[in-house]
Parts: sequence; structure tokens; C-alpha cells
Amino acid sequence: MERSNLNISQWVYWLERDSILVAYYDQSTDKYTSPSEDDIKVTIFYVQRPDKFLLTGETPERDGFTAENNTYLGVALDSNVQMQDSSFWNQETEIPPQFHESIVARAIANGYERQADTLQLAGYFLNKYEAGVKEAKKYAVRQRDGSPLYTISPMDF
Amino acid sequence: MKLKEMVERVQQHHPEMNVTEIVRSLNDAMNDMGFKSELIESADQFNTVANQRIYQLKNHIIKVKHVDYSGKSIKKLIGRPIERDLDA
Repeated sequence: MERSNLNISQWVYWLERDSILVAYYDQSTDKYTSPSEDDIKVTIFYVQRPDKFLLTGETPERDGFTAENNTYLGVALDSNVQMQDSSFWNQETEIPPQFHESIVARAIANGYERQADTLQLAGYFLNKYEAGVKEAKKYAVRQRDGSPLYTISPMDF
Repeated sequence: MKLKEMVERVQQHHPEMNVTEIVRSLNDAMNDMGFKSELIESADQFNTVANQRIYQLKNHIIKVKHVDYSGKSIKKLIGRPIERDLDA
């Protein structure tokens, strides 16, 4: 028996080797079968790394940017999908605005870390940043519905 | 806050830091915060290829939360099938 705790025939997914695997579990044979047809749509809902600020001439690391679909962090990229000088300063991170100050605090801390006599200041700004990360974690769980941090989700049996 | 304002705020403390250094620091901060807090969620779609079960995930994906197959939510298998097929 391949899996003892899966007893209903159904489509399932799992992750390995930096990939997603999709297969149909057949209860009668206890086997997994790959999709047999082309062009069945699979949608992945995921947490993503925030897009980076680009320096002039840099291109996005993330896939999916073309000359037609070229808006990146609120600004237009040029026809080569590169950051233009005129748009550079107007980039705005997709991280919600209430956490922007924390991001700045981390950069300030990095600056103070360079010299031994300002290490204490670096610690101060790093703490500010870490407090922001803590709030961001809470925000990510609550999102915008304002519900308590820990809830028990109802479940169908 | 736009990038210009962020850079200006950092330069109030560190006028000697150039823009490239500051942008790199801000990117490190955003990357770290995004990873630790799981703030930014998104969705992507792809189409299946017949008889293929494995599909490479894009680099910017930190954590897969849910998957729909042909418009319906499917469950995550805990663990992996005992029989593996590296070519599938």
C-alpha cells in the first residue's frame, strides 16, 4: 500500500526538488497517475519574495515582464524591460506602507554597523526593524479583516 | 514611501553612503522582511502537459499555500508517494 492515510481517490499535489508535482491518487489501485491531458489549468497560490528595487538598466528577476506588460513597482520599464533613469526614484515597494519605516531602519543600521563606535546605534535601528518584522508577521496573518491573530477555522467532515 | 524618500532618510544618517549601497541595503531588508513575515501573496497559473507530473516552481515563490486543479482546490499530500518516478 502506498499511503495508509489517503483513502479517497482525488487529485493531490506535493513539493520536492524545487518543483510542484500534481497527480491523481486512485484508491482502487493505490497508485498515483500524472495528468493525462494537456492544458488543464493549475493555479498556485503562494507567498512570494518582494520585488527588489532596480538600479537604472537592471531588469526584474521575476519572470513575466515583457515590453507590453512592463509596470514594475508602480513605474514603467523601457522597451528592453529595464529600469529607466526617469522612473528610478518613483519605485515603491509592494510591502505595505506602514512597514516602510522599518525597512529604512534596517538600511540605517547597516550604515552604522560599519564602524565600531556606532555599533550601539546600529543595534537601536536593528531593534526598530525587528519590531517592524514582528508587526508584519501579525499583519500577514490578519490581513485586512481585523480578526484575532489566532482563530480556529471551521472544518467540514 | 517612494524610493527617493527612503534613500533621503537613510542619507540623513549616512550622507557618505551612495545610492547603490542604499538600494542594496533596502533590497536586503525587503527580502528579509518578506521571507520572515510572508507578507506578499500572489497567484500564478500554468497548463499541464500530458503524462507529466512535475513542474518547476519559479524562484520568487517562498511558500506554496494552496493549489487548484482545473478550478478546484486540491489537497497537499503529506510526505511523498513511496514509488517515485524521476522522469514523470
